[in-house]
Amino acid sequence: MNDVAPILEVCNLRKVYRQGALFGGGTGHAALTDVSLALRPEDGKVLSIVGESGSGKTTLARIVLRLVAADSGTVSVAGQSIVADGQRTVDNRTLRKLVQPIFQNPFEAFSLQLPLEEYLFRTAINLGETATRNDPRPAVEEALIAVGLSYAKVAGKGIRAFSGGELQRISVARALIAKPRLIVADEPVSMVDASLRMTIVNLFKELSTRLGVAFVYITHDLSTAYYLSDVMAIMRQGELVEFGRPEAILQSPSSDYTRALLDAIPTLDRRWDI
Amino acid sequence: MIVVDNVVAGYRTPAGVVKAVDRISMEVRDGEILGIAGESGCGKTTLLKLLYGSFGDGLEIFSGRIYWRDPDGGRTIECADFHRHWWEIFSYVPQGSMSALNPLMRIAPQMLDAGSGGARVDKTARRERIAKTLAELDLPERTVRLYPHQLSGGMRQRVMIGLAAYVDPDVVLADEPTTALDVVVQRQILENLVRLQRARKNSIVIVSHDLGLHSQVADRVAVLYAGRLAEVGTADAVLRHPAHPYTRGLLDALPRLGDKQPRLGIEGRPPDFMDMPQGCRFHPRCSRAIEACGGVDPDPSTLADGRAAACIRLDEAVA
Repeated sequence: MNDVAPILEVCNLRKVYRQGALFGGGTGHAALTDVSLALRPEDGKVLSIVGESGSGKTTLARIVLRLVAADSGTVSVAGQSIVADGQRTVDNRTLRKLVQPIFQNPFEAFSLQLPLEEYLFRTAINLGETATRNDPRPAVEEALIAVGLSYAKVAGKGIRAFSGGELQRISVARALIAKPRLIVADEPVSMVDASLRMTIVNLFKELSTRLGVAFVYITHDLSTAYYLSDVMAIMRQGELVEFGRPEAILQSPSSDYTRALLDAIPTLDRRWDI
Repeated sequence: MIVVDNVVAGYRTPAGVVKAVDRISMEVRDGEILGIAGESGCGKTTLLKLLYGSFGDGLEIFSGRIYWRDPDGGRTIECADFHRHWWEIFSYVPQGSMSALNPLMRIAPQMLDAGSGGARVDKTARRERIAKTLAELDLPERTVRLYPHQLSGGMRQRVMIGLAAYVDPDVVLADEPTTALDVVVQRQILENLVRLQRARKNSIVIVSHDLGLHSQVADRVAVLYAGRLAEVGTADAVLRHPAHPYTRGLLDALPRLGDKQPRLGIEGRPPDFMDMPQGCRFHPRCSRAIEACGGVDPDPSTLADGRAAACIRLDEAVA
């Protein structure tokens, strides 16, 4: 690991999902076609990947998290290769200390039976340094304070006691305990009420500046992506159609698709000509 | 026109009575698109069910009156009888189009069946109307011969709108008609909906938490909070110059493309219907709250520009 290497580098990633291929044959659906992108330290800390359903953005996130195997291509995080030619190159524990996930639906990310603190303690014990493994409590407390909660607020409670926004904060706290270089958040605010979305988005922004952790923010919402990110990628049907600084993309979109996407956002400022 | 007159409605549960709609007075005017906004759990869907007269799931009107009046004012229908005029006067576009369509039936028979309300109808004439409506919604002719799984999410939602509109009802009620669709598809569907409304001059009520969406299509907007009406008025007044602190908070929480100024959400969440705060229901989350706000639960009062808002600090809020 070093500080000049890209925080995330993805090269020539390909993934085809096969249908009806149990005994060979079947039809293929290309979810990613030769995707390459990178988030370098000089670019900033937040990379957004924007696209509609079927654009391949979630597949890309899952490959970076190694929840899905790529057919070919390489992925490295903070200079450490994690996938090469579609094969895994580090063990899971090393991987989880580099990259942590935040999922779309916080109500499904946690079990109904387990108290939420279990998730925090297990992460601290599994992925923490020796001192943390011996006494996980301070790491758990610190992470909860970082996301604006406290141990007293979470202790002994299950998911029913919290709103979607609060659960997403706990998801972030759990990810932070591993002290990862990168957090991959797949549609983290789409299940959160519109009035609370910005509180979560602002939390990402604050944590990236204050703790230096980088984020990959996967979303279909161009407005929050623009607000949050330093670099933005727009995907469609498994291909990267746009990549660059959000201001530059907004000013001079290079593809027709980006223009259509920009025009379709229901803003308060101008009314569509219907 | 549907008139809602001081209505209290909700559900009886083992834990007590939930008043999901509490002392609301408003109307759905002829030929308008009315947007209903608010966070989840604020009573939006319950209000829409009342406007549709759908009481299947234990919904009850505890007091007040809802009725429909025809444009000439000659005929009125009470809410309890709305269901006798479903499709003909009132129709409904539900949220999830996949679970609303029968997966084993082609589109044409479903539309014929639903739109007739079980009565015998002239099928040839109906088929022509279906074809015309689907064409207006930019759906290809062959759509009627397909099964739901053969359509994309956007096409299915358009079929649902066509289903609600082809019998030419006076009021179309749509519950989050474009959630779960991509923005490009959402825009096409909203455009279809507005064109259809302009051609037929009926009323449309759209429930959505997306104020950007209301700003594109709605003539008037009603904002609900914790079962109460916070603000109602023309979309221009409510969304450009909000009077109620809650409306303002919702607007401030919206990120705008091209603007990186810090945006704050509204901290906290809407109160539980079983445990309402004393006084104004929004005051525990309100940045403008003063001590008096904990003592009164204000009804909306009408302002000079015709909009109504429920806040005791309106004079200062608008200034």
